[in-house]
Amino acid sequence: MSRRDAAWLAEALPERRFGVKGPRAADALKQLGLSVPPRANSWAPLRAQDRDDSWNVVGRLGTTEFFIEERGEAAGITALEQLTAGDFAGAYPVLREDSALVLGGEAVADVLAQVCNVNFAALEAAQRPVVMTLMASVGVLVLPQLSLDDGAIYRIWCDPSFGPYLWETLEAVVQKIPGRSP
Amino acid sequence: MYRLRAVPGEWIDRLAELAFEFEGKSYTGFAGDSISSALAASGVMTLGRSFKYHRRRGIFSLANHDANNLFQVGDIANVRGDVTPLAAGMRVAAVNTTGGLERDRGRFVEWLAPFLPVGFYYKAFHGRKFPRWEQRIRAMSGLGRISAGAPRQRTAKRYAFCDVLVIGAGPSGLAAALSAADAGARVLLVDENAKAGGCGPWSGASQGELEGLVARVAATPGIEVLLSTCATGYYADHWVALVEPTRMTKVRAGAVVCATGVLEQPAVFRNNDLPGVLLGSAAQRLVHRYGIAPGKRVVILTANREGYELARALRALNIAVTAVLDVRAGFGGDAHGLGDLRCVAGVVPQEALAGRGGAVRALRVRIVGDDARPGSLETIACDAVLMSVGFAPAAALLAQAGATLPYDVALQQHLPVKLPAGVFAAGRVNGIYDYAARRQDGRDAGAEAAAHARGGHQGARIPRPENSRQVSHPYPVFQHPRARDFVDLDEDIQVKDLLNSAQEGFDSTELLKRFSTLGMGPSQGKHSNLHGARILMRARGSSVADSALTTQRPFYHPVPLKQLAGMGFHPERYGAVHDRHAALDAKFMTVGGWQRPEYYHDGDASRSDCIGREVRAVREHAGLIDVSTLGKIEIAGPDAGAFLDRVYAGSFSDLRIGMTRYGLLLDESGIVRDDGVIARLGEHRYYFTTTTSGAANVYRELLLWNARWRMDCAFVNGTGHRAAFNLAGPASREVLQTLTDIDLSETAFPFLAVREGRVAGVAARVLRAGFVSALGFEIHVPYRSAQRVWDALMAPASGVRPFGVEAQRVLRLEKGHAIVAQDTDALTNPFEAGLGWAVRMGKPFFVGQRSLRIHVRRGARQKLVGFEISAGQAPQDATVTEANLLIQNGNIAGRVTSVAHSPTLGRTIGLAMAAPHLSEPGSNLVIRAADGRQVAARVVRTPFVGAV
Repeated sequence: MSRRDAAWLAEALPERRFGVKGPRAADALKQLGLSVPPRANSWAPLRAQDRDDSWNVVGRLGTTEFFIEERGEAAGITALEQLTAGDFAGAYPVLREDSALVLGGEAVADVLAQVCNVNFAALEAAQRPVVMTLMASVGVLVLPQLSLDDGAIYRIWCDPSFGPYLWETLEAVVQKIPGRSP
Repeated sequence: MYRLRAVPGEWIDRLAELAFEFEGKSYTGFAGDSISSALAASGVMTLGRSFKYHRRRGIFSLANHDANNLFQVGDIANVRGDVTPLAAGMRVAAVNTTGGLERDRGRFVEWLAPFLPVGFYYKAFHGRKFPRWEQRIRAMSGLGRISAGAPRQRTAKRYAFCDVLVIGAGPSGLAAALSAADAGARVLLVDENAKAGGCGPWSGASQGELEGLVARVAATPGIEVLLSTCATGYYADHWVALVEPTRMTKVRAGAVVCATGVLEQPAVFRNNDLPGVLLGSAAQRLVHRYGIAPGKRVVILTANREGYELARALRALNIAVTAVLDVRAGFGGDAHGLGDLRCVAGVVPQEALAGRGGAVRALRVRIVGDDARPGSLETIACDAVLMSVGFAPAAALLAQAGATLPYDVALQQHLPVKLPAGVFAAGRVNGIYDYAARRQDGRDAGAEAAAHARGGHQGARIPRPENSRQVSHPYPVFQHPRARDFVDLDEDIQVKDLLNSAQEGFDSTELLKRFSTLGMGPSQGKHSNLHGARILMRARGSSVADSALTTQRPFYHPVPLKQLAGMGFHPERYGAVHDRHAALDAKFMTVGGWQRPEYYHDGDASRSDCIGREVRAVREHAGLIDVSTLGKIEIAGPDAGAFLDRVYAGSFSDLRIGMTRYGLLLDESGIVRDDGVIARLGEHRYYFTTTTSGAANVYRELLLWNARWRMDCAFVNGTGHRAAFNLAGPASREVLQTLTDIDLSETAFPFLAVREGRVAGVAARVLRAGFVSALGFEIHVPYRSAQRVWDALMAPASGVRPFGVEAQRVLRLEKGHAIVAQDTDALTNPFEAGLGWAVRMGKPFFVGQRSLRIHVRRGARQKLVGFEISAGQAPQDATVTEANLLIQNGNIAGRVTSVAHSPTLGRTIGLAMAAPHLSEPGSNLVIRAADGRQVAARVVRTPFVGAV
């Protein structure tokens, strides 16, 4: 695989992931100074000062459910874990051990079209959408993101028990896309 | 047939010659040829044998519907020769022959025609004659040969999206695409042909005009063109299935324009199926696409202006046209400018005559003239009869979309008069045949489709132009007393077959179709359904306008199975320590989508020995099983306990923090659906397990219930995110205590308790479990930390042995525990399964409670009991398997639900659903084993094994 390929697939580093759910989940994020995406099915950089191509993100999966990924020491997640483990009523911790993949390349739309029935081309990455859907029959969370180096990339998370299957399936599709380097 | 000099716009590349074989003989064609056209250019007239009578057949439509041009190409069956591109080295063979195409022994079947009347199958398959007929018919039927050894071809399936989907790239479709794109729509234009243009080259467009149109489409950025692509099905909300040569695309459009054109219909007369008798449009395709003359002495049998246009086109290429025979009483101005060409009106075709080799050599007609007198018989020598007597709209997709398509008597064609929102028709399918009008119709449809896709606007369609003209004869059917007047060439159905069907009472189009098999062959009635309706309705003394179209279901056109199957996505789940299982030489099995160890190989030991050793390890020391596949759900919030009380049959709001309780989930009819262990972790926090296969459904159902009840609690399905291991056996406490900060002593951690702490340094939830042994601990840890915990538990010093699903089944059976969905079925209530102790009928409400009261009043129909095979029957023991029946007095009295040899007890034990009167301990059971022998068993109390 090369970043110059028409389509490429990469395994994301094992960052820390966490979820928070409940009627006061947004309050918990706010209390810790973390971003709260304004509407369901959207995401935001974890902190206001982070850029749009940041790896630290918070996704709003519904009115009262959030998903967070954070690199490095993951101070935000640590604080959130502590807060929700305590007596902060109405915000409950969610264990997230997702497998994480990244899809990219000029022909990435061709790959997505073969494994998913969502019209990703109609989504504007600048609007920071988050999509929960099925990909190759597996439930996934997809976050289209504008990367400064590679154009549009798609960050994909799934239940870790489906990780090997999803990787193999996407890899098989990616390998059949014309324009891959030998 | 022979190859002409280069024809403007032809599809073939005369510089690229391709060699191929047909029926063992060598031929050549050109790149761009179809298999059928290459054979035709080589003078091969007979391309196949008909399905029933094995009659010689040649090119008929050349429009992707020639059922008698199906070929076997290598290992691939059902290759459509009329559209499949020729490739170098192809080895092509005819299908449905015995002994080759020319010497086909099946041709003698035609002699038996009097004994094979319509409805033959239904009559032959009735009663005792069936097996004999079945054998014969199976031996003879089928087209092509499937190679069972051929590798599976994994083709891509994909989704696509557009504002406007235009189906058909003829003049109206091209105009619609341009118009929609000009309005700013993203357009997808598809056509089943290898090139755009449709019938334009022979329906009014000049070559330059058409090429200009195609070039404009190609140059328009907003239009994507897919050729050799068949739109085969329309589904709700403008989903359309497109079948490309190597993949299927499911396209979602904002609006759909059907510019699908028309299907030319044949004239029906005796021997209208001979090679050399073909549709006029097929001749146009031969000429304009492949540069092939349909014959050297051509007769055109017509009933419309198109027949005369065909004559002009052929004469322009110096192809001799002997006569234009018009079945109408007069031809008005249609023959204008044809000069010396013999044009005769009032013609009644009698029969085509076959020459040496089976192809047509003459057409015998009766010329009646205007006064309808009997007229004179005339035999006209020819080597091609081209039929141009009318059309049927290719409106299947419109019908699937819900369009209303009444029969327009003025045009003698079904026409779309009422279209669903977002669906538009354009061109000839709309009854518009003149070139300029078709283009205008396409432009209008494209503009309106774009407007609809933008804002849901459904504009009023432009009324059909007044200059629409009738191109279809109302009844081009000329029955012959000696039959062989074919209506359906796929199934060899003649006029008399349809009349006999009607006479037998199958007198609606739907019934006629099923009884006669009209339209049920590979072309799906594209050339026969309309005539079938005409014949039926005339026989009933009615008009085709009074008949209903048969239901048009997807797929409109046959789709290769490989394209339906696609890549074949079958998700498999792997636990966090899958690699560890593999390293331990596990034999894997699939359970609820998970790959689970069935057992672990142990040297050369047999499967049963391996399982036996695993069972003994648990009973004597400690064993470890990966139970990560169990559903693992969390519920939190002030109403969590109350919610569980409503969903589960037991009571959980009164469960003490730090304790667990067995939970039973019922459906609304009181039937056992799932079970698991519910642990209370805090005042408002519960954590519970479900069965492996039930996890997703249970979670979904919980969400559904709470969407109705709106209780203050939140749910998390952590099934895949958390691994779980069950450490079981007398030494389990001792082993685990060395790895955890949780006090495991009996007083600090009693049976059914749950504790949170660290195991091997990993945050864990530990449940005291007794499913497989008296002492056991379920350890639940995050997925990514699971290997660490597994490795620590499996450290050599611990003496722990891994055990798999099969050992677990034996162990839990020894403990007398039922497995939901194995020991219960879709009719089992908890009392019948011996799980009444887990039900709190006194609660105000729980799902299934009301139904359960009814079950209680009615009494149990069956009871789950433990049994053991009586001693001294060892040889038969092994033959008893799950689902074997209990027999009493010759009647079924129950069934075995679980059975296994217990290594602990040294005998065979099991669970069975038995009639209530057989459920008392000590009752004798008779089990009819798999090999038919009757095995004696005795009902015993469970558990079979006590405190181990």
